[in-house]
Amino acid sequence: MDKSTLALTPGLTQFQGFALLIGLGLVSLVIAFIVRQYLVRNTHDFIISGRKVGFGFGVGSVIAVWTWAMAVLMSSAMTYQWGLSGLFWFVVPNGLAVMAVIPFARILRKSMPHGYTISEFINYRFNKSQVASTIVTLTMIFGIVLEILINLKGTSIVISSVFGINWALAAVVGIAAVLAYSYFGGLWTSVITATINTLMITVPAGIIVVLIYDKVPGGAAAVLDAVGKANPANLSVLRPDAAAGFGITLAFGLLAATIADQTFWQKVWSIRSSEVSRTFLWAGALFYPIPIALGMIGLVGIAYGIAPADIGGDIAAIGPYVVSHIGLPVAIVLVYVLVILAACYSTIDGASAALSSVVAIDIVKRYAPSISERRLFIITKISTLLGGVVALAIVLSGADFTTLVLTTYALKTAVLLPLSLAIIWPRTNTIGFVGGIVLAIVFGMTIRAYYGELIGTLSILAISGLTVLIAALVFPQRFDSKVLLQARDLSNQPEGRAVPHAAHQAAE
Amino acid sequence: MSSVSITIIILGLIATAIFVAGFYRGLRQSITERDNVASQEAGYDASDRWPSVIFAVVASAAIITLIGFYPAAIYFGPFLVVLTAAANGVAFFLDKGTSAR
Repeated sequence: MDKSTLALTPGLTQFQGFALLIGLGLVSLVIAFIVRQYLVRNTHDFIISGRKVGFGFGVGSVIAVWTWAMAVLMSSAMTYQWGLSGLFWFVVPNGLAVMAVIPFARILRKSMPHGYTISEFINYRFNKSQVASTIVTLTMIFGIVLEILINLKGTSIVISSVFGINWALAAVVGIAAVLAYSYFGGLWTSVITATINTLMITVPAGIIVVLIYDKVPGGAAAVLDAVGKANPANLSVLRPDAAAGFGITLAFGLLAATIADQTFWQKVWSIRSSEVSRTFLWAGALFYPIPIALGMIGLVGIAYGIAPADIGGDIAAIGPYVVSHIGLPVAIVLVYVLVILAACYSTIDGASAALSSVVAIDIVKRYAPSISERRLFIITKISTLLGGVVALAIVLSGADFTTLVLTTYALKTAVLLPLSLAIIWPRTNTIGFVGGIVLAIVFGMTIRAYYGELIGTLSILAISGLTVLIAALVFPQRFDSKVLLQARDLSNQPEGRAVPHAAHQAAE
Repeated sequence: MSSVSITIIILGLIATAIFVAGFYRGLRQSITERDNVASQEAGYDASDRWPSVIFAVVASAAIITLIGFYPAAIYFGPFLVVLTAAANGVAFFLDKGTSAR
């Protein structure tokens, strides 16, 4: 296998790139109009789909929301960098993170059946503590903006590198396409278009990978032979440097990315109560084959001896590079780009829908509890656009968003254990919850800065968890989960009338 | 085109057909149940499903490990990812909705 035989597939044009960006958005927009006509009548439908998302849509939408554009790219990239150990550490915690939601979702769906957001849960759980709910609300908002940002950036890079389109223009067109359809149907649109995107990610991914191996002289056996010759450790899943280099940190990061993410909690409260556990089990298990299949492209990159410098220095480009240089027809390259776009759009629209629920419940209803349903619905719809606009502004500014990544990472990792304990352990109290998060950020992030990601992550988890435990011992109290039943559905109120917020109802 | 590719493409078409059929059923069911209050109170699943979770995790790890020993295992991923689409389609048919309650 000689990398000099690789050449860019001829016939790729900028028009094709724009057609994919806009076309996928237009198809989704048509679906959004249909959804709006039949399924969305008020804020409750818009942000929680009336709690009637069924098993099939639940599975499809969770898979698509979890399949980030970067996940499509990074499964190939991690395999390319670390061999099968890279794939192992990227894949195994990824699906587990989705399934890890099950015990928490099962508890909250039952004890707080009319919930909307995880910040709302914290508000009830810690006796309307402004500090506790504000920390969690900010964590959710940062996380959502980061999800949109990363997917937007990833997509603009792929579109610009494959079609030669200006990356900034690709970002503008891409986000406009997603927000246009997200605005109209809210979560129902997100759920339905994401489920379609699951089909658009899975079947094409399987076909593209086998067609790539068809193009390699000697096929799979030759690739595996070359990968082993490049470095025998590439064929092992037990490389300790892969585990220490990124695997263990990624595993905890992924757990925080699901359990401390409103995108997933919105799904938990929108899926029909009897289907929640089964949905997350199927979604996690059925997610696994996606990165496993796409990881095989990374092996081809190793086999051909492609150096990072050959692909612009960014190993995330190994997948697009192999697909566009190994001699596949233009149509197949376009389908691969469509796979990435489908992953990108479904994650962005899921994040936008999650943001609308945070704005409606944790900001508008909390601070303007008497707002009419009509005004709330309008504000909620507009809020769908906010995350995308902010993310686009950050991307276009060319600013280094390392600070945002670090802040979100710190908040999410610090929130992970206190939030988990708040759900499953009645003795978790406000001091422990807030103190755990604050101390973990202050000391854990300092340790991380000096001793690296692995020790830093473990420190953040240890500090946050121990603080909750110590506070529970020092200030013993027991939370009565019946308080959570005070949360009420927005739809219980007639349209156009002032809707008292559940928190105020409880106080009455 | 290799026989593996032809097989995967055929399976992909079958999976797409199952998915589309399921999707159509799911969409009709969602619209039908739009005003059904009972679907909001459909009971709760009491299981954490740990055995199935452990099986899924171990199976994924085993498949990746096998790739290092058997070249044919490279095709597990493409085969299973097509199966994901089919299984998502089947999930629509396993959804009892509220009509069966």
